[in-house]
Amino acid sequence: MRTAAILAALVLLAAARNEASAQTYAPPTSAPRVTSAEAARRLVIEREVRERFARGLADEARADWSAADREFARIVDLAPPEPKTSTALYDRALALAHLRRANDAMDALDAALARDPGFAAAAANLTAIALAAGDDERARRAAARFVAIAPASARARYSEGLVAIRTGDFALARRDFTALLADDPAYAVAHYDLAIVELHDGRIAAAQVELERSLALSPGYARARLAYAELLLRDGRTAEAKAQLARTAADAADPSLRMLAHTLREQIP
Amino acid sequence: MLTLLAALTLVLTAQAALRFVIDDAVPSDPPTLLSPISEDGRVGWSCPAEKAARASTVRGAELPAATP
Repeated sequence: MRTAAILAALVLLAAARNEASAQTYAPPTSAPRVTSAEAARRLVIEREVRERFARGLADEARADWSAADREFARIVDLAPPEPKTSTALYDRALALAHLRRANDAMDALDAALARDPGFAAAAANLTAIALAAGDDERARRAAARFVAIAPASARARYSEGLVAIRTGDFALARRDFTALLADDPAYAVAHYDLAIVELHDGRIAAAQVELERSLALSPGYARARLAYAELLLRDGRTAEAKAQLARTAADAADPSLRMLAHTLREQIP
Repeated sequence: MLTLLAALTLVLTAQAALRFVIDDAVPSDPPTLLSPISEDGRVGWSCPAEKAARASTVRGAELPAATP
């Protein structure tokens, strides 16, 4: 009985030792050590920047633009090393644009570009915001900068072409939209914009050809169809114009285009 | 004289019609804004916003589509 108890105890002890030896532990690492107040301050700022980026992006994802603006403004104040400050300025500009503070958004993007002159996305959004705000001069400078940063960029060519139409530089607009179409002849929007350039240059037949190309590629493109109908009207082809206007009035998603097409059609005798 | 007047009227009407077409035909819309960038987002070619800004193709550049 006693022998049996000793044997049982030995078996249990052996099992326990095996279990203990099977456990593995991470190799010992030294705890982060800060040797100066400045280094400690840097670590605190890094952590705050990381957290505020995460919160700001989450705010933007749920369209809480005011909250996002506050987070990114705080990061800019903390002035983390590049590219973090210019990225925070870029993200803040998105929030400001949605808050309809176009000038502040453009200032933020200018500041981002001052810190990182090769920041193509900042130049792209600066041009888009200036265009949407109707600030043609700022859009022109931003587009030129965008093209200089990314000469092969389709978005840069497109943006510069739009600005050029607005500012009456039709030679530049023609160059940009022709370059876009050389890369992608199936882009109906560029055919439409090239038609606008031709119209301004008084090349009516060429404008008509571009509109026909645009509509052949995208028959539902209401804006192109409206312009095409107006050209037909100008040529006295009223029956065809009426048919095009009727289709535009029926198809257009934009209520102002629908209304314009409807009104024009009603006025044709 | 009447023929000349009629011709002149025709030219003026055509010019007015063309003016109307040009005034009405606005360029396409500006591109939509590129997406937000995360704290560590601007790492080479993996940043979607930088990628779209520098893309040489219409599709990659996220340009406006020809919508109804």
